[in-house]
Amino acid sequence: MSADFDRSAAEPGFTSDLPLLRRERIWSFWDFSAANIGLAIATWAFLQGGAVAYYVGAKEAVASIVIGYGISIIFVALAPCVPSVRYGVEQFVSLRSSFGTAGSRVIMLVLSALLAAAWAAVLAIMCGYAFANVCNALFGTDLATDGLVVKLLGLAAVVVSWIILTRGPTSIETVNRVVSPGLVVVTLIMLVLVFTQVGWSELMELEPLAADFDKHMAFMIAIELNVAGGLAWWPNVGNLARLTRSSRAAYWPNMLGLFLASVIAAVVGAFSALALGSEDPTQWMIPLGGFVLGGLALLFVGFANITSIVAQGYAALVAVRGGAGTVGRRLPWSVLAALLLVPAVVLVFFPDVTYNNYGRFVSWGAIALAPLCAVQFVDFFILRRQRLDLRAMYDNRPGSPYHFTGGFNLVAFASAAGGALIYALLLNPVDYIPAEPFRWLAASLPAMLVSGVLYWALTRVITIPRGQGGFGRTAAATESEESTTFGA
Amino acid sequence: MDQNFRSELDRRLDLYEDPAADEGVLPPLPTGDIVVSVVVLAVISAALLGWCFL
Repeated sequence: MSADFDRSAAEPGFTSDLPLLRRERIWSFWDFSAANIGLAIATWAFLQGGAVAYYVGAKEAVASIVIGYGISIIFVALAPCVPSVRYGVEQFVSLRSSFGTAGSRVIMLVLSALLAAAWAAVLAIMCGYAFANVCNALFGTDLATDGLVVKLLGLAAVVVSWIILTRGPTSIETVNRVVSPGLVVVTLIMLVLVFTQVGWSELMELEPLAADFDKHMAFMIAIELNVAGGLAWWPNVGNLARLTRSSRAAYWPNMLGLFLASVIAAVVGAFSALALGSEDPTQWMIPLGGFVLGGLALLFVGFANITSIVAQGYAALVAVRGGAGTVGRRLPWSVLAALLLVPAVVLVFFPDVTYNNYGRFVSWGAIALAPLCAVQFVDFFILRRQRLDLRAMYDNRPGSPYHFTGGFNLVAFASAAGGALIYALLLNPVDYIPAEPFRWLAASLPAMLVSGVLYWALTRVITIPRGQGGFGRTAAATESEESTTFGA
Repeated sequence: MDQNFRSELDRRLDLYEDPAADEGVLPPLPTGDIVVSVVVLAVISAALLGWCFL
């Protein structure tokens, strides 16, 4: 490696979109599991639990969280993680086989930036709510949720997050080392307090927060919320998985972290919301734990939102920087971070609208993520049988296998659009009102099925006969790989 | 694509394709792992739905 390359690798937040060498795969199964659990046990899991409790009671909340997260996390652990780890490449690089050399770049840039900004806004507002609630309890103030103080606290959360982001991965690791175990403790304390104050049998009898909702439809919305919540990990998780040393070490830790840890935290959130009659996590701590314990927990959760913004923001920055190519690599890390957070700065000045529409927000993510995940799954696991052409992933010249049409695989985009249309027909993302078939189908799963089937069929009818996508090279790549793979 | 990046990329691609090198593509995820996850999720889901609605 050249000296220049060594220097660039030392920059804060540097990510190489090169295939990793063996010594650069730094994570074992347990390393990735720890990182994964740290990501999952975050304040967004409480939001998720609160949103679920709006529609269903305790039993249905447990079932919908396990089923919804289970389905989506299996897809998220497979589609972006396995190609990234097998070839040691970033997610947007592995996506080139399905969406084209330019198409994958556009997808990762747009989605990573939009989702990071939206999550940052929601979490910053939650931080503002938390501190305002502590202030109201401590000083007897009456800070309104849409007041100027909450907006400024949200803004401060975004600015502090930016400062931590500019200091690079070391400061993020340091902060997370404290906050992740702290959130585990807060989660467990909340669980104990809920059962101490309400009890299992009483909890099981509690009505959902929206008690007048059609119960069947409400259960399906809860399932959908959790499928969408799991799919929200899609833009980031492949870039983490590629640091592991085997396909199994890239896959199974997601089941411990993104699935199990998220499920536990979301279930605790749902139970707390039901017990206290509020879907807002910042309303739970003081009534549950009293002024001292609850106030301290709420302050901690307030700060934890900042680390969640930073974790999400860092993953998005890595994706955006890689996806932006030479421009991204040349732009200073601090400027890129500021650009990413600008939309969040605007959104924190509309706290109630942003924070109270969590379900719609997750749904807007799923309408894009469900079809993308399905197309990538069908491309890698079904059509290519887990085999890509590594050299072609870095060849964007016209005529190269993954260049498709002007750098875009139009078949993949059309298939994803078809899935998104199905989603919108089943669950209107604007007013969040489901159509009648949603009662039996939900929205993300049919969207994934339609996208996947369309992509499979159109690839066989259009792409392969036109000689695009390098599908004819799979056999040769297989033979080549069998002679160059190293041990599991 | 800058020259520095291109030359490092070429070096790495050569290493990945060299049967004698210690680098290379990792083995695929065994199909059994996927089957186990799907079956376990299906069983847990069925049990939870039964607990909720039966």
